[in-house]
Amino acid sequence: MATSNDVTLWQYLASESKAGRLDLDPSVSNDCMKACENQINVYKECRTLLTNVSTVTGFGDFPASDALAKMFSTKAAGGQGDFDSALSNGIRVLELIRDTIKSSVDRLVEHDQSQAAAITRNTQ
Amino acid sequence: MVFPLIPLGVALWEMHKGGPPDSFANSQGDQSPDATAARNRINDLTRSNSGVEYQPSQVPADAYKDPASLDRLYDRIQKMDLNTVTAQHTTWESMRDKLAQGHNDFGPTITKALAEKWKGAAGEKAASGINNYLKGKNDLVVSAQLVAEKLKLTRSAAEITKPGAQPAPSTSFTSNIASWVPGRASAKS
Repeated sequence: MATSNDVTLWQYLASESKAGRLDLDPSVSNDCMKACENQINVYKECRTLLTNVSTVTGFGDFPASDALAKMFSTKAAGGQGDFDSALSNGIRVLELIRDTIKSSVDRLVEHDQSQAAAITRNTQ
Repeated sequence: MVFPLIPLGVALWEMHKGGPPDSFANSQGDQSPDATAARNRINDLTRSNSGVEYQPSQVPADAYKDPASLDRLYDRIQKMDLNTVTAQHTTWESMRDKLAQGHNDFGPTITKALAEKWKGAAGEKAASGINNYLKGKNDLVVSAQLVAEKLKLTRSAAEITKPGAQPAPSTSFTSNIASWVPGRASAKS
């Protein structure tokens, strides 16, 4: 699961890439960026599912079943090591990985466009 | 009414322990195929050294009461809502499947970003950052699987307990004796 160290690392790498000091090979960058986008969507969909299980009921009226229902509820959201926080952190890291790669892709697109413009100018 | 509570009690005790059930629970508890499969799966996952961190019990020991000491036992059991418990179980299973599928798609693609594919002084860090991220990615799937299996145990226990509970007879000892008197039983009804 994503940690604060992952966030710190990818914040640094995203800034390196944005500054033009880090590039991912064009042969893989588009696929990797798309994979990050897809995985972000998976985590977002899971967070939506969590809203259905963040209030657990139906275990009967017993002190132990009440405590058990509360345990399941807080495992979904609001407790220590809960899924909602883990998914939220995962999304944060994936967004940073995507941003790191995106800077490479954007530079490549920019480069291609300027090359195309130069060719057009030369052929006119 | 004590007997139908045994599966629920065993399921709760397994949650209480937060680990694999012992032989007593196996011999005395819910032996339905679903519960057995769930217990086996939990055993497999806890032995797999997946890197998942386990928490101590969230259900305090004093929350366990002898059912015989509780009033309104039938009413308490009727508060079990099998549809709700089933919906919660299937939601966790859906989330586990979605996470597993997502990771299966994501892993092979993002590992194309090997060290030699990066240009720049931080290239090695980027490649190792992706590797480290991927190492922990399965923890969420294992955790979702564990929650789903524990909910399956709870669901199975509730499915056995609720239909097995019968309301207390409305007659008392004295009214039973009265019903033995010829003519009184029909008068009562």
